[in-house]
Amino acid sequence: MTVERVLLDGFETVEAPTPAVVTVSNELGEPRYPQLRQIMMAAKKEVKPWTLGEIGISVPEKRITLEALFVPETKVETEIIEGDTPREKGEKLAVRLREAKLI
Amino acid sequence: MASGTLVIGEATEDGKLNPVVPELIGIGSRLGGRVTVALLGSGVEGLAREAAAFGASKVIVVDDAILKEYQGDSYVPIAERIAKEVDPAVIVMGQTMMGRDMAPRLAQRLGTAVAMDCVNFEMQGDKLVAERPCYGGSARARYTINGTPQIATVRAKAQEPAERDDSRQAEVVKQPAGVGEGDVRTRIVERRKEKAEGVRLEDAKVVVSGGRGLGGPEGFKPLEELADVLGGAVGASRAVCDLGWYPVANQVGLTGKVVTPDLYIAVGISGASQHMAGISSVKNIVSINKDADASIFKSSRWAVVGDWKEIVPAFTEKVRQLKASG
Ligand SMILES: Cc1cc2nc3c(=O)[nH]c(=O)nc-3n(C[C@H](O)[C@H](O)[C@H](O)COP(=O)(O)OP(=O)(O)OC[C@H]3O[C@@H](n4cnc5c(N)ncnc54)[C@H](O)[C@@H]3O)c2cc1C
Repeated sequence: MTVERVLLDGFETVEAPTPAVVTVSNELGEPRYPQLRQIMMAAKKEVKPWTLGEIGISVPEKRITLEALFVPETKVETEIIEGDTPREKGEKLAVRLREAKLI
Repeated sequence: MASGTLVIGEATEDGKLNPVVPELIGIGSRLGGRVTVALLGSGVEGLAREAAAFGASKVIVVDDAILKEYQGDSYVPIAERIAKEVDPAVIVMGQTMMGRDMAPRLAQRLGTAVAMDCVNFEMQGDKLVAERPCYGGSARARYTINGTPQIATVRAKAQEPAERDDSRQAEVVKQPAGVGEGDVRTRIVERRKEKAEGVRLEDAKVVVSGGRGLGGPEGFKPLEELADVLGGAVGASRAVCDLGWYPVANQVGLTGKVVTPDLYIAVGISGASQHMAGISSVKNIVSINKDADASIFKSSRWAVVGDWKEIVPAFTEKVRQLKASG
């Protein structure tokens, strides 16, 4: 099997023997949307749930514990750059960022 | 008993110590105990001294041509061998191409678990508490790992790097790779670089990003000019990458890149949570949007309401002027 992998600054082509596990990224392409007929047919298909026991897997010991889930406090005080014209706002923004030593 | 931290270090493509390594050493030092750094690669031996300067007590170097590129089949067994020998309480590595691939595989081999893409750490007794962003950066989760060693990958620039002190010494041990061509099942056939001009998005101190509000691919020209004046890089929202207005490599966000500049300028970007996930640790966000209710303003330090087409050129011109006046 030959795959193309996304790198930070480009792509690489990788060959691997099968079977292989491949993870994909959003550059992969268009999803295959079902047609109406296929959606109708899907409704009739049997869905058979399996338990782990039925496929011969015992529940693995939990190795990772979620201790806390929270929304971090991020308070941003927004300054609205005012001006009579868009040009004036653009110029004022530059002055403000200069004062903040960011440019 | 397992103790201390093992840092899986790495080099950049041009053979320098990856900047995440001093950050990892910093984490190890703060957690307490010995910090051992494993350096795997080709031509990495010279970096051992640097790792020592950042505070490693011991550096294990595996320098072999077979390790020129990261391949799971060659790197993972070596990391496993070193982990078993060092017997650390904690293993950390960067949330890099290498770390993402290696960490889960290593955890599986060592019969333990991994917390990925963490930004904060704390020891509670002998338990590592690792914190990571979740739900597209809008929440944080804290995990503990019930196994030894406790493994985590770390987001770049989330933690303070260790101080460099070139007078520090460390024990440096060289080890053979112990893997051969026959062990590596994947083969890299070709590598293509996207011609990245100027500053890399991940390293940029200033990022100027454009969204659908630009109205078309030509809208990026003035942004490139602005980025150029500021010595920064250009980013994009997913909407414009999907439309083909700008390369996907420049996408910022949940499914794009996480950037950490000192200044982020969002032009014609609405501020969807998936976009914000890419800039969640940026303190200075400027946004230019014609919609006064755009959600990006809530996270912005400076907000400019109006049409970018008039604001950006005036802004660029003024920046140029201010820079020229010193
Ligand atoms: C699973 C998933 C993953 C995703 N990952 C990402 C990701 O990684 N990165 C990402 O960016 N998005 C991502 N998205 C998409 C995200 O939800 C938004 O759709 C996207 O970010 C919107 O892009 P935008 O802000 O450019 O466009 P829009 O939301 O269309 O916003 C355009 C903005 O431009 C403003 N505007 C219009 N004209 C002007 C003008 N003349 N002057 C000034 N302002 C103007 C408008 O007021 C508006 O606020 C993801 C979505 C999903 C479902």
